[in-house]
Amino acid sequence: MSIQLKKGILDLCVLSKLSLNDSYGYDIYQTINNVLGISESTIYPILRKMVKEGYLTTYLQESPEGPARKYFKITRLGKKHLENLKDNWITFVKDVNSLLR
Amino acid sequence: MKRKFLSELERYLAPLSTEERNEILRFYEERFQSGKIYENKSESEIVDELETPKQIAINVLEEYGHDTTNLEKDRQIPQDNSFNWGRLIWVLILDFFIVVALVPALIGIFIGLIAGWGGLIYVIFTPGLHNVAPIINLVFIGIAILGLFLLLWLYDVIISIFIWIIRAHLKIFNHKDPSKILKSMYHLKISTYLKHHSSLKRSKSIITALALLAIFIGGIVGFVRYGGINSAQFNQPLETYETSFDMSDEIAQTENLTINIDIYSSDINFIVSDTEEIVVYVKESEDMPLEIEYNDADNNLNITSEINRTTFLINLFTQIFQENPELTIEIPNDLNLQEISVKSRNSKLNIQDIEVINDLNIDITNGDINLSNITLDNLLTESTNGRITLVDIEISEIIDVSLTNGSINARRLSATNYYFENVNGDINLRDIDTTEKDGETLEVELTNGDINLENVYVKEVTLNNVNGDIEFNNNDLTFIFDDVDANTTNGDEDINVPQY
Repeated sequence: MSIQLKKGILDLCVLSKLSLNDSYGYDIYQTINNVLGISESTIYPILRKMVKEGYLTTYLQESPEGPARKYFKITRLGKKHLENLKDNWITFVKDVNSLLR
Repeated sequence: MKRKFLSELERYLAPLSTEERNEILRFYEERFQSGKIYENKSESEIVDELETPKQIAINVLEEYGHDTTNLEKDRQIPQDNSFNWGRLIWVLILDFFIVVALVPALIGIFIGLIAGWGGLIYVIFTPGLHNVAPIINLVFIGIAILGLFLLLWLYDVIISIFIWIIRAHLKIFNHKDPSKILKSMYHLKISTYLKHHSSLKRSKSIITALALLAIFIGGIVGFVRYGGINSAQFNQPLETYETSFDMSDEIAQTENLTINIDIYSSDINFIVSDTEEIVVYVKESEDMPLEIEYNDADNNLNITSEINRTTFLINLFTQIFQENPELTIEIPNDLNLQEISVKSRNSKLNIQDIEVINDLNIDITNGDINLSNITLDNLLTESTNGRITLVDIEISEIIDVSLTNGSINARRLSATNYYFENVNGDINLRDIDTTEKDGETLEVELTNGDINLENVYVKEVTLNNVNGDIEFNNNDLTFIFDDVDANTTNGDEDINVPQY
């Protein structure tokens, strides 16, 4: 998979993961890494970028066992963007599959 | 650790705006803290988990659309799939060491252990032992079992060493996933096999315990029965024996007489006295009646015994407190003997003060051999277990001593050709050919043990050992050897004598 393609998909994966529940950076990385095998350092700029673009917001959550963690929450805009990306992805997969057959 | 990591990362992230940079640094700061607190990891463990600061910076900068070619350039050379020549040289040195030292050493140890183990197995299946001292056999069986386990363990160690070597080589060639190859090698190890078969592992422990018990019981009983491993039989006063045979009537011609002895489990003594006749003193055991007969035709005196073969188990209990039968042959001091030939199992043999004799042939399976103050042409002894002590022996031709388990100690010998051979035990030679200094050849072959030579004056000396040291010291350094050839695979060679 080309790096460019992978990065586009990463956006989709991050948003999709956060649409289920809020989470912090390392947890997001681990979830995606289990499936795609990415490097940790690519995930943080993506998260930051999406916060900047208004797809995500952050908040600090105190934890009983340790220091506060920065949690990411998907915004309404983010959800809309996710739907877009999802549609694009499904179309994309369909198209490619039709070529493969 | 953490500070160094973060400050390095900060440096690499210089192209970013302050806000962007701090954001990334905060992520990693958080990463350290949660790793420490939630996963109980040390800072260095977390650093190991993470990419290098440079790699992170490259990924991040790319993400923000910065140029990273500068960073990547000096990253690509030392790392990734580039070939490391320094490491290659190290591996070549390692290979050289393996070929020159490690492999021969391992082969030596292996040969030594197999030879030692084979010697023990040979002892166990020696018929004499089954008939006479089965309780002692327990010790040998126990040691043989432990020896076998030691062999298997050594096999595992060798496999481990090779796994380590292969890992080092794979690393050099940047193999992506060495664990797959190494995993299949781990399956070659016996301990891996045992790990998956717990019942076998349990039986191994039980067998080990039984072997130790056998050694313990056999050792204790053997000590009670034989009074330990003690060969101080020299100058033992002659006791009154139950029977004696005056052979003077039978033996027609005492000149050039040959004496053949083929008996089991006895103390055999040859002594010289002022008497005119050959007298044979016997203290018999019911199990082993002796037969003494003189053969006119070839002038042989034959002393043989027949064994009432009883089963192994009965012997095991009846033999414990029995005493060895004794055979003492008294010889007139002016008798010219042709040959003495002794063949026996489980016997102690003492021969002393015999001056005129041609050949002495000894073949003893278990027992000590003590020879002192003898003058003869050829001395040939072949024995399996026991100590051989030779003192004050003058041989005009050949001495050939061959042993499997035990030590060979020789002092004040002279001969023309010397051969000493042993598998397990030391060989000590002192004061050899000190007066004439005209011995031709001396050959010593040993597998496990040390070879010590002191004051040995024989023109050509060959000393071969596998596991053990070789030491050679002479007082008279004006004696120059034609050749001294000393080789040991695992051990030190300490040769301090002059040679051409």
